[in-house]
Amino acid sequence: MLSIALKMLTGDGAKYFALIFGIAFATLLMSQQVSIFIGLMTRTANQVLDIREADIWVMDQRVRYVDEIEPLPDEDLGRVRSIDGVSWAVPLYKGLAILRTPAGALNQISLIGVDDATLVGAPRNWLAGDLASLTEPDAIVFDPQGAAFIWPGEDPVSAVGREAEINDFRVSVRGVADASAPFITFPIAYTRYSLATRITPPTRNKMSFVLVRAADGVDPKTLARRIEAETGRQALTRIEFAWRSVNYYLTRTGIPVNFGITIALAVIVGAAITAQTLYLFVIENLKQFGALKAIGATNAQIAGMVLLQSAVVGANGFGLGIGVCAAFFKFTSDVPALEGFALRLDVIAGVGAVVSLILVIASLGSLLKVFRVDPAIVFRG
Amino acid sequence: MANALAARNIEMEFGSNGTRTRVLHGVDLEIEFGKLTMLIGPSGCGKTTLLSIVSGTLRPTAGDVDVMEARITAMRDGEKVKFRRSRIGFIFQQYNLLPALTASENAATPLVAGGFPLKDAVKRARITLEGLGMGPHTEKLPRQLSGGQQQRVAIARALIHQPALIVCDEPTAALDADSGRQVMELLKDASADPSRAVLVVTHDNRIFKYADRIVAMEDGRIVGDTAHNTLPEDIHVH
Repeated sequence: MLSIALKMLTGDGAKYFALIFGIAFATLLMSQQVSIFIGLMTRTANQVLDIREADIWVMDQRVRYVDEIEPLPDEDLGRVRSIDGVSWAVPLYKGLAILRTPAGALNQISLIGVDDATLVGAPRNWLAGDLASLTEPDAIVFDPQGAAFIWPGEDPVSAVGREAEINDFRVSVRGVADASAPFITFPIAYTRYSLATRITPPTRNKMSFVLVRAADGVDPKTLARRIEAETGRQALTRIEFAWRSVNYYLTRTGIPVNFGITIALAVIVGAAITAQTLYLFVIENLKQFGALKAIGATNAQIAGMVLLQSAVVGANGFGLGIGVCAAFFKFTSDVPALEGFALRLDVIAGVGAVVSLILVIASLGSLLKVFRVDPAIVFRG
Repeated sequence: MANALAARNIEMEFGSNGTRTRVLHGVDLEIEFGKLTMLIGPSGCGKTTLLSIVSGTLRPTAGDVDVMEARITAMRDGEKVKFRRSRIGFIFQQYNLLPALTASENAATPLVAGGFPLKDAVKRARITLEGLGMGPHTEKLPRQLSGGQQQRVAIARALIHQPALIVCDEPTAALDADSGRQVMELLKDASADPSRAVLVVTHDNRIFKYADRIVAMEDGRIVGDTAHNTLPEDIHVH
């Protein structure tokens, strides 16, 4: 009977593909929206996660996420370095600045100043230049999206050698290096801490964070609590700070609500499309199922047929939807606005579970109708 | 030898308490082996309801039905399904063939439902179809067949598991005269088997001549029977 079920399913190509496309659309809608949401939330923590050398970030007690800066006094660096269990501690500058090109164009940039001696916090994936490029006089290094944004229509690598001004200070582009996309999509410019503090407007304090490496055998969490106790500053492990940033955007912005609504709508629309198309397919075949019941097919056989049909369209539709979603992220990976967004395995699994649940519910609803159908229906015209 | 079918005091009501309608009023009917019996009467007289009850697809409000000495009215639904699958063949007015299956696959469905592998069942279905003059059409889909050919596939489906009782609901109603004649000749041949009975519900007077016996119904009651020479005079049997 299962082979008959498959022939019933595929016999009408238009209905079969309508079912598959319905489920594929629902899958695409859910997986794409959830992936973008997760990608967006991950961006809020990327600048923390990218600096893998640092176990702990030390900051002002009031800082709630990575883009909220309250500078620390320079002496905090020495205080942190003196704490037992600290292997090393370096300063990090993070702030916004206005960059002016020779053509006069103004661009707001995200300026990151890394420790002059160790260059901890510098990018790793160099497209032009290398780590040593940061040590050159007046050197700044752009991310490729930033370079493309400031000098549109040109190869980002060709930005190397160009000059610009930040607060009337001349800077030279010495390299282009990739970095994970941040939540705020300004061009990212890396420079040395000393240069960053020199070319940004004077304020009493300049140090945004102290990056700390725990000594071998020292638990970063324990060390973070010790730093907090001894300095009165906030000290968070890298993962704690990343989650703190994510949670800030989750709890203090409208993004989760808006995306939650979009995802809920995607699930509802997807469920409605999937359930309705499958239910209608079974209902349209009700008389055929009635005929099968009349000639001796049991309810168990018919349940097997409906569940097999459901599983086949589900697997095909889900596969197609996931495939299209994966292709979407693959082909848009070069689009700056979508950089870093990807289809994750856990999203595939989650959407698969939702689609399966929808299919099971729709199948059970259809089966109730099929079980109730009187085989005598076939005698009624 | 016992009758193929014996229905006693069959009553059937439809609807809920306030709007209950009685469509069968204590009907008694016996069908013999080796004969083609026709159940005739005007639309709404209850003949299709009676056919549904004696074939085990509808449970009567009251009364008993024995098919091949098995009391199907006392069977549970699962038992009735198995009984229908092995002992009863069905032919419907609208053929009720599965549109996605070929003629041979459609004819094979009772065997497949009984656990036969599709391949083996289809082989047997081809032989049955060839016996009904459908040899060149075994691999065609229903939409590629004429009404008469589709009904012959339905006959093959009804015969393939060699049932003892074949029930037919208006088998010629959707056919032209020539196709109707061919279908009735096949059913007549099928009824010639002394271990089989064929019961045909119809109001198509062109096919009355194929009947070994005609039972007339009106308003939920049997009002005439050629076996008892009580057929009303206004029914013209050629």
